[in-house]
Amino acid sequence: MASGSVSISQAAISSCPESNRVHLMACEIEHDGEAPVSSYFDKTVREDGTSSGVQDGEKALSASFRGRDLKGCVVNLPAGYTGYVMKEDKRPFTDEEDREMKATHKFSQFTYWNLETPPSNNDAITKAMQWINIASALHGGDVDNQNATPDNIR
Amino acid sequence: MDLSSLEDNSRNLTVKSVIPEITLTEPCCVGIDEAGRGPVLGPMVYGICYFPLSKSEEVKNLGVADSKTLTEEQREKLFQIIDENKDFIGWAIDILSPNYLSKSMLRRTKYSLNEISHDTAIGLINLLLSSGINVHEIYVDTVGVAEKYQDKLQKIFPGIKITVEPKADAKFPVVSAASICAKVARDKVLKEWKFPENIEFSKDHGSGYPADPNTKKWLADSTDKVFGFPQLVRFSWSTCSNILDNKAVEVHWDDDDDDGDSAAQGTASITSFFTPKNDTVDRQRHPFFRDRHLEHVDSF
Repeated sequence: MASGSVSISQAAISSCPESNRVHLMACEIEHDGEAPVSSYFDKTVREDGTSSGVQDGEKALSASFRGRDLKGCVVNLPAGYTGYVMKEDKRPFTDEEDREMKATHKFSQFTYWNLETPPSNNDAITKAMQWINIASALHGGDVDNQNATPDNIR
Repeated sequence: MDLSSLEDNSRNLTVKSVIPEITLTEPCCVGIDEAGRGPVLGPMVYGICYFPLSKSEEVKNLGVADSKTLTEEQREKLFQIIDENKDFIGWAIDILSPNYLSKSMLRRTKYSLNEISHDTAIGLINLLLSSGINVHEIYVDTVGVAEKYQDKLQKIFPGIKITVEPKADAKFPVVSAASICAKVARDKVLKEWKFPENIEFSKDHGSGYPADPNTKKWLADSTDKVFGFPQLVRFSWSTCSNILDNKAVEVHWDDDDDDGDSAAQGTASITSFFTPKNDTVDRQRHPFFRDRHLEHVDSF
């Protein structure tokens, strides 16, 4: 078990740029670093009718990666939550070392992709989002969901 | 041939000529052929051509021949002649984009090129029938075993005389005409291909056949280590997967092991029943959390 502490740079949390082009892929890509997403992947994204798992105001999407068919949609994060893309400049050599993470981008929505299956309310990621509401009902007492923040639902 | 409606070259497109009025009343023969089945680049194009049986001699005299024996210029010229005789020759083409071919052939339940070919041919015949064309005879260049393909078509279209033969494009002028339409369209799409990727790719991709050294070189030079190839390329060709194995990062999909030996894994070995049971049961989280892939995390 890791015993070093993990610190997150506060300055980067507030200053990092916003990105609404975060994709949660349906596959594991053995690559960590930059990739020409806008030249390749973004160009394959098309609107693709309707589907049950799509949030109000969003559209079902299709795309392709390495010749395979992907179906997906945009997921807006619940009110009061912000997503961060974190990067570690130095990888630790041992478990004991302290580690420092830096936010490179923040996001309020992301696009998730299934392999060939249209997004539905049965997808793990859609269902996982329900936990936020359930957790606030279980632990948060009388909380106004519309104005929920990570602090008042904890 | 006007292909200006092909704005999005990742999509399929059907283009058809004006329907000659005479083909609605007089019994017609119909020919079907494809272009670009083998190449690793660009679309596969299906062509269908039709004219009244009474005009067969006239068409023969126009000089249509198998598109493979003709040069690109000769094909262009013959297509012009077909177009000039639009008062009795009609045609339609179906452009199947490389993106569509890749997605279909790499599907979880594979959609083979033969099935795609058959379904496209059937679709084109239905297009003519729904337009009210008086179809009496259909000639098709075979895909797969000719007898089986013929039986399949004959069952779907009883009452129409169907002939499926290898090299039909050399034997029947109506099939030659269809093959010219298909080949002219494929050449045009390939020549005017606009890469949707904002990247300059060389135009020197050779014939597009996997055996062509220029095509091989172009594929190797146009590889991105994450995304593989631009959408001009049919990812489902083994030439492509071989290049990606060497030049691109690995990608794992959850259906990668679908045809592996999962049955063997499911069988417990006989001796496992005699080993003492481990009493410390792994406490799993409630299915609510497992369904949602939610876990406690205390480190990154």
